[in-house]
Amino acid sequence: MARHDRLPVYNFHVEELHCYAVGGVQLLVHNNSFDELADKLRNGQIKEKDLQRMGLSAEDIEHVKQQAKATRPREHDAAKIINDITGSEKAVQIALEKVRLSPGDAAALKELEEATAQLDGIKKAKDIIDRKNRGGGQ
Amino acid sequence: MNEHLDILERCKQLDFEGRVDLSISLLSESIQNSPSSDLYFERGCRYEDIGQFGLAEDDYSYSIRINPKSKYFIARGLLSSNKNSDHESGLRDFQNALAIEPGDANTYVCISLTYLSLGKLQRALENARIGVELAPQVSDSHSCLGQCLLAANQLSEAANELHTATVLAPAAANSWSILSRVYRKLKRFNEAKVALERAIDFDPSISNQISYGSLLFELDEYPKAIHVFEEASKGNLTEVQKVLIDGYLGLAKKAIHDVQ
Repeated sequence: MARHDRLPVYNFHVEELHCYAVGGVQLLVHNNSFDELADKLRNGQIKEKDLQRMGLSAEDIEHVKQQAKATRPREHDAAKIINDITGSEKAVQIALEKVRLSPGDAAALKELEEATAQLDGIKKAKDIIDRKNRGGGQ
Repeated sequence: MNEHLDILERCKQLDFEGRVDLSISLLSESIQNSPSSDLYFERGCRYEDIGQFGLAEDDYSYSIRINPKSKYFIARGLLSSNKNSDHESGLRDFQNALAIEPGDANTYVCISLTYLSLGKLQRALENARIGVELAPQVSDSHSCLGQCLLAANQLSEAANELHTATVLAPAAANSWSILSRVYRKLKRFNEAKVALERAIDFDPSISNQISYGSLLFELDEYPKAIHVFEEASKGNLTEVQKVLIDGYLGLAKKAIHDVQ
């Protein structure tokens, strides 16, 4: 759908979370540079389909793909990469978004399960200490 | 504390009968007559249990103001970090707790888990190792270190720590569950299955059932996986749990269809 109005545009930065859905159609947008996109593509955090959804042209997508290939890939460990970058709660949000973008993708589902299990493990460990700390309390 | 023993005993009885609201009323009355840090703390615990996190935080803060103790700081820190996802406030409270009791292993475990929540793996590992050094006989310290090592992908070391945690506390469901994740990553699937079954024995939560279903799916045991997911789907699910169950059910049914 094309619209030929003149509209104000804004350049802004969303703290920490660079990938977010906008508007009624929940269009996924991204404010990362090509370097960051290439890095995430290489690490498996985003897929080519995500780049299309971000509105990148075919030429830009090719550029990001080439850049991703040009650098030596690191060992793929999605849980660790996500953990390093974002923390366990945001890891779940990002993994959930990936499952929604690629329903039926077993790898995305496993990543979501791992991120959820990690968050769950941390919360349960804190609950255990909380109960012990209360001691004489309830 | 002694002068409040009668009140606290009555509160515990009311809690046991499921009348937490009456327990809170009794504590409120006692606080009005004779405010004390322990009474505020006890009421805060009960507010937290019924999901009144703002009131719980206020009560923990009153306790700290009257008579700062490390357990009050830990309670408020865990409330901030675990219930309100305010990890920075949690860390500040844990540091205050350490200033009062510098050698408390539990506080280091709290700090480690909070750094793990924030994705700061190095700091999480450092604090977890201090926790183990201070309390090598405590299961929670090893479990925390195992969890950090898993996040850092140091799987053999993680398996050792979590194994120690389960030896020290054989009914620690969370340690079994995390150990199962480590074995799974090491492709030691039989051990992963046994560990997860132990976890479910002690904690048949939906999250453990989902892990079990996905493990069966990974082992190509599709009919069993479907059964586990269908049972899990009868529970009260979070949004993420629903997405996981629906996703795995779809994949397992498709796999059976493809085989036929």
